[in-house]
Amino acid sequence: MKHDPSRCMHCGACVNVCPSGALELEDTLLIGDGCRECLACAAVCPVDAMGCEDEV
Amino acid sequence: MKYDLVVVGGRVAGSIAAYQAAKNGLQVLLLEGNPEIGTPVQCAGGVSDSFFKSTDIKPLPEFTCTRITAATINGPYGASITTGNPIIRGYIIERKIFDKYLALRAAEAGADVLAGSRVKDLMFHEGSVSGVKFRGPDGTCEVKSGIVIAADGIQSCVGRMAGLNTRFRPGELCSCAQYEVTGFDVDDETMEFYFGSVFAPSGYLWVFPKGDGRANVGVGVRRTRCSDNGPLHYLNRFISRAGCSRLEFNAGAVPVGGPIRKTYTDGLLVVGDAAGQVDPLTGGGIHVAAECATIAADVATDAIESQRTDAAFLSKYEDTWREQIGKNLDRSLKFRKVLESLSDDELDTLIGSFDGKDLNSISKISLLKILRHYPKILKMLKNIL
Ligand SMILES: Cc1cc2nc3c(=O)[nH]c(=O)nc-3n(C[C@H](O)[C@H](O)[C@H](O)COP(=O)(O)OP(=O)(O)OC[C@H]3O[C@@H](n4cnc5c(N)ncnc54)[C@H](O)[C@@H]3O)c2cc1C
Ligand code: SF4
Ligand code: SF4
Repeated sequence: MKHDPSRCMHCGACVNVCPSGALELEDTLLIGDGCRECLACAAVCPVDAMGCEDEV
Repeated sequence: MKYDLVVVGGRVAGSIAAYQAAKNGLQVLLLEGNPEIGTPVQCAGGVSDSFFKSTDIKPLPEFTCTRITAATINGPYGASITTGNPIIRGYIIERKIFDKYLALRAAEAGADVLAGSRVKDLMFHEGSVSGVKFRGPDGTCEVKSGIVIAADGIQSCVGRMAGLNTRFRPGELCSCAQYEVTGFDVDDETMEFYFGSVFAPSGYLWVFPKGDGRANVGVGVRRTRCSDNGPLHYLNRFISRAGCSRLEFNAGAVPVGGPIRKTYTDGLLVVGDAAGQVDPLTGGGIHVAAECATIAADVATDAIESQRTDAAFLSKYEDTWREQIGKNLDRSLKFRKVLESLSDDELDTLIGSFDGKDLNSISKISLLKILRHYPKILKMLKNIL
């Protein structure tokens, strides 16, 4: 999963929806193991900081 | 260190729970992960009079920006109605100041408040939650507690640490982006809403006045595929026409799919956004969070006093809040689904059909008369009204 920290607003939406519990919000968003590329995080991110398109 | 109650999350739900429990005589610790209570803002600040009435909180000039007496609802093609119905009367509040005021109120009632202190883990004793581990300015600390209240918002790691399912699916979260703008042409007493796919598909766009041309302008959409446009796309499109300055940018998500299935377990209660206690139609959560937080604090007090912090005792919390507001949340959810199923054409004609009618005095019967030209909507509304 690609993540753009410069856009991230630390809202926690992606952390909530991640079915694998792969995401954790500290001072920055941490992406741990277990991501299955379901893109739930990208769908809920209000500022498109999680990438499914090549823009991130 | 041992407390009767540790509350995680220092915004509406957390501060009100901490206040109420401290007032009830419990030893309370309130922990907020962010360095400053109230920031970053994730709210448009609309609160109705009923909130102030039911909580006994006064709408002080420190945190109220404008007095709201009307609401305008705009359709996608220009249909528009304005209502001054008493139920929409209220205030636009400055959440940063309001949240701090609520925390201050909790502290004055006797609660210990620690900002910049993020809970990392729960402690357990014989299978029951018995405290928290948090990291703050003084390093990592462990605090024992009779009960923990998770008021930590949609991130709700704390509920999950206790084994509760606090996860929402993408379609149950409304992703929001908002600017506070200035130099915006807006009536200071009127909230404005815009519906339809041009403004905000499966959601709405709002303009909440804050006085002297200042306003919170935001968009909330339920996006289930990342290839669809997000809220920022619609917000920027709307705002670019207005040519105004942006004072602040906020983003966040609101749970609009109804509450989570179970909001209690041994030694722990979940309240507010963390529990999905939000009106699914409007996305408003302040009044709901306040009501549930008060119930949670009262049940926690009973539990501590009778030394019964087990799930069977704490289930009283869930029974009570479901009885008091469960039906309203269900009905709102159904209404939202009806609204979302309408096409842009249907939405616009529906809004237009109310034009010229006195919305303040529309009864159920006259509503049904207006709607008789819309058999599809009528059918869907039948099981709600
Ligand atoms: C853009 C937007 C506009 C909105 N507009 C309105 C509106 O106009 N009117 C209305 O009534 N509602 C509105 N809402 C909804 C409303 O903001 C929420 O329902 C309300 O703030 C819920 O409060 P809460 O205390 O439950 O959770 P939150 O406000 O989410 O607070 C949770 C707190 O817990 C803290 N926290 C999280 N994890 C931890 C941890 N591990 N340790 C310590 N602290 C932690 C967070 O930092 C946060 O401060 C809006 C929401 C959004 C996103
Ligand atoms: S793509 Fe899916 S599994 Fe991977 S981080 Fe995002 S939500 Fe989690
Ligand atoms: S949803 Fe987006 S903005 Fe929010 S924490 Fe995740 S990446 Fe950051």
